[in-house]
Amino acid sequence: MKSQRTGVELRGRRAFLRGVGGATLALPFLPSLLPRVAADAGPDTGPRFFIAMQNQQGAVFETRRVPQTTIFDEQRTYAERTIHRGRLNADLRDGRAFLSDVLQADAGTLTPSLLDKLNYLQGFDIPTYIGHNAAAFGNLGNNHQGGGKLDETPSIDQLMAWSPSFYRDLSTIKERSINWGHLAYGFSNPASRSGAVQKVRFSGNAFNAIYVEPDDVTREGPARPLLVDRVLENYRRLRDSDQRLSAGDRRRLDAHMERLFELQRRSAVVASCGDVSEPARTDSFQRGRSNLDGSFQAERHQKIHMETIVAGILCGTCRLWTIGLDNCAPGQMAGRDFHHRAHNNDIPEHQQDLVDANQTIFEEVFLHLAKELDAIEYGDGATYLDRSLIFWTNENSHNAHHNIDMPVVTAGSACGHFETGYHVDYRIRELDTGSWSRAPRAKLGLFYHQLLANMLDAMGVPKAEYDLYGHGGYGDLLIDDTQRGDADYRRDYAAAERVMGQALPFWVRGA
Amino acid sequence: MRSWRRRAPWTIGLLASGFAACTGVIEDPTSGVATGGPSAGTPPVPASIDFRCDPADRAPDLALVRLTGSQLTRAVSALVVESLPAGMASEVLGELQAAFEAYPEAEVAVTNGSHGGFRRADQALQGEHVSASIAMAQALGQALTRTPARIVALLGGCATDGDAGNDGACLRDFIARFGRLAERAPLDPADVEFYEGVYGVEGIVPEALADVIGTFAASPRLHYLVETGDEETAADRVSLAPHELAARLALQLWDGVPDAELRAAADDGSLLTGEVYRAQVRRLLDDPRAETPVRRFYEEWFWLTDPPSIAAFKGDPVFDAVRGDFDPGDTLHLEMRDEVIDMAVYYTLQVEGGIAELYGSDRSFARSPQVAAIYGVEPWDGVSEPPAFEDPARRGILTRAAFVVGNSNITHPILKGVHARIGLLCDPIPDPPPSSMENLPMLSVDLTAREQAEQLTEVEGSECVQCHTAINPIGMLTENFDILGRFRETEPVFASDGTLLVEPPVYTVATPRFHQTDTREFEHAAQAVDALVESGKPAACFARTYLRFSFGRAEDERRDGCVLQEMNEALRSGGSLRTAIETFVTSSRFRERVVAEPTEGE
Repeated sequence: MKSQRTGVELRGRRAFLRGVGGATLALPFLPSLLPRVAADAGPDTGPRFFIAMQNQQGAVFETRRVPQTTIFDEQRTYAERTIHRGRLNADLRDGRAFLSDVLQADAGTLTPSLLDKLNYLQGFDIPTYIGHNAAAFGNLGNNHQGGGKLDETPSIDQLMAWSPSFYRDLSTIKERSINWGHLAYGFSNPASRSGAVQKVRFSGNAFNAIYVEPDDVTREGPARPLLVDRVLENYRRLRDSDQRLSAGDRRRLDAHMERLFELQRRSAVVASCGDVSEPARTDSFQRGRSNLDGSFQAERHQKIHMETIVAGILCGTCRLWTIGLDNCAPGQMAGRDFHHRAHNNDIPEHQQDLVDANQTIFEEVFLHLAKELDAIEYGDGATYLDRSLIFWTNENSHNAHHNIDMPVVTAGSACGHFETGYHVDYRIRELDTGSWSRAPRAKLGLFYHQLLANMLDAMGVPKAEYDLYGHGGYGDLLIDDTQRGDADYRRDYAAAERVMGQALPFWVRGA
Repeated sequence: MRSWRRRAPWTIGLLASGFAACTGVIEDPTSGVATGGPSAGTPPVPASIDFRCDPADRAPDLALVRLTGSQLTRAVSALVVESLPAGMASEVLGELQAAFEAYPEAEVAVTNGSHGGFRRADQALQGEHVSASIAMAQALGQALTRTPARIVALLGGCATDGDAGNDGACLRDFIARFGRLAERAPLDPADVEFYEGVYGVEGIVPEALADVIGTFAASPRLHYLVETGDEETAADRVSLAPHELAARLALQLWDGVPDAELRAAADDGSLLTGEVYRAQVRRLLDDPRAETPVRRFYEEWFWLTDPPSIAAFKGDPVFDAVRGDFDPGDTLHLEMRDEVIDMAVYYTLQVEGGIAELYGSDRSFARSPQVAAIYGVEPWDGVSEPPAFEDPARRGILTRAAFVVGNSNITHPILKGVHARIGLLCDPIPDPPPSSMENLPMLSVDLTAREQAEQLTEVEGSECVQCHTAINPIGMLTENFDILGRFRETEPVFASDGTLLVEPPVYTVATPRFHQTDTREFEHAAQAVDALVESGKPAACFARTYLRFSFGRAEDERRDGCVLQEMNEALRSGGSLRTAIETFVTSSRFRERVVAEPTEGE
């Protein structure tokens, strides 16, 4: 049987899903699952998918995280420095594919073909001291040590979610985004991009949110107006009344009404999940975060989050996902204050715990998702991973409270927007930051704001929709010297500031 | 010979966790708003214990306050209970349970600094609030109209008397009655007409009735506090109308909705008279329903929301060495939390306790055997007089088990100090500077918790000492209690594998400076309790946090000065905690609405 849209052979697809890496999806692949694509002109107007994940702390030393097996055989001059690129290259050690202590996995999971779709990017700095933060996805102002120095801005997934350039056709979209944890931020009135920036979170059953029931209701007689229509009318009555409401009251009503409009829109969604069934879970996963074993946490991420993401993508009902991961630390450490591990990361056993935690996330969460998406053909020789960008980072970089050289691991090319299979180093290799007493010291790079902008570009969001400050990148920029005590920070970052709005060479195809 | 192997991990973590601070933020004492920027080595500015009142200047209320999840479900439940006979109502509430659980509860949102917070401050509107509210409304409509008996209970006999001629009046009467409950005020004719339009058909049709009920259940006047006021008292404020006052009062004191008596006082306007209003305040506080918001207030004020598990540390060699034969149960952390809250509720609602009792109690409120065993007393039955501590060293709030245990395998004088300084005294402590993680000294592995904290943060001339002088001593006062809250005279120090290294005597002498002018030294926490109360900080802290809890925002010392000072004076003159609450809800501030921006539509 061929898919109605692409003509791709689907026979035997179910067996293929079962065979890949012990796949656990309970998803028979049917033509009806293929998401609808607007019949637009242009090279590729099909859907793209963005999944961003972050775990707290970080504080894994560069030598334990960054790929150690790369041979940098390409160089370019960019932003007044020499940038370097090499193919990601895994050593085989006892059945494991090894790039670094963190970036390693079973060779059957991290296969050469999957490795070819990953990237490791070095050299993205947040040049303001922000300490503990919720900045990973773009709200740089939400931090505990910034002292209000940076504005709070929406996270990039929320800009995508409400951009008509990302969701060009909402007819199948039940949820614009699903946001687990506390890393997504949006305007209180996202449709009009107004109001305070507030947390965006999802606490319900995500599978139910993205799933579409077959419509087997037999209507008798004229249907009554939907309840949501009535409620909207009631809100409008109050909002437009001559009662003594403040401007703030009316804004709050507007924000509520926008969400009612969204509910109205969702009630008209036409999609089909076919025989998609909810991933099997044990009751223990339903209890929410459990202060137990890190492996349990990772498995929970797989069962509750990653497989729901795949379901939502296949149903065509959601394309944006963000998740704040549990620390997935080894054994009982998962349930404790992992914070002190990160702040004493030079003590060998603490550093090992951090390495183990991040390695677990890499193999059992990040790669789990990448592999599942890569096992499903989208069409035209591409897989769902090829149409996606999966982005993984930590709260901090190589030391606690440190945001120079943020860890960036990606999977997928976002429909060929990115070149993949590379380790790219954007840092000025000759220049240390000079801060932090623990070795190794970080080297200055480009701005994290540029990375965020490039991801927005990849998802089709025009710069006019995200360049809030006119510097070309995304987010509030402040170069402060509190992370360094010696040389002129601003001088060393001048070139990075000039290129902030550019496509990243060695990553963006054609840049 | 001491082994110089590594730093004290937890202490370093605390330095950079936001629980320690080495910079000062200059506070303008007249504005109550932090100004200026970080300044290394500047001591933190303590909070005021007195407030100035300027009746002409008021801090604005939040715009259109949204009910929390628990308040909303309580409001919807009240609709059911007041519309149906008891047995029928119970059935319906059972059918609604899933919808109630699906509605997202508010999260604790920080109002001041980086710590603590209150659920009422969580005013962020999520998409799932709206979708869950519609689902709840649909469920309510369907449940209430599921059977003819329920419809008759709602509408009365006119629903099934076979007389189509009275159906219109039957419906209008229902709309008026049900709407009065749902929207917390009588409907005006335009509202009745709107809901008749929602119904939209002739006769008594269950589906149409369900739509009316659902529309009420999702109404903005049910989900939000819509306060348009009675009379404009200044350009930026109005006095609340009787029904608005009734609604605000019920939410404040019951986390719920007005009952029939309160509604009647609003209907006839008598609620606006001082005597009637004060009588209603007393009645509401005497009612068992008053316990719910009081419990929540203290839980949030004392940072007891979602405490970390103690049992999770079982298996850690150091923890196991400390606990010995004591096997902490899986809910021990919750039992410890409840003990503190039960104490606070007891002194607020059961007896006329004041700040001295709350902060200086020598009673155990432990209902669980394990917490009672830690305290060395019998469990409390919740009714009779709470058992007294036999050991006078237990006296006071600082020694409560919930406040001396930590999320680790060793005690945390810095964490305890931060909790007390910020949480119990409301003194702001700024965040640590970026340099706090640099060039940390290597410490001996066999130091006590106190010694580690002192060597890391109290080095003369360092950036850390100014703030840690305000933090550490309070935490040191309770180092005579271990990580399970058990009294100890020595502090065994273990290697990471659980091997005992040293066991020196506990040393708890400290100068806590509860008030910045008080330089007295104390032997331990129990000895310092009176100074803690006399400092004036607890009373002022109660006033601040009760305002934060009630209004869902940070206090403005100047613009909220009037009501803060009223509560403060009530407590410092020996008044009870309940009196302070009464003072708040009877204040002119509580009975008016202040807006930040000019009203529209006039």
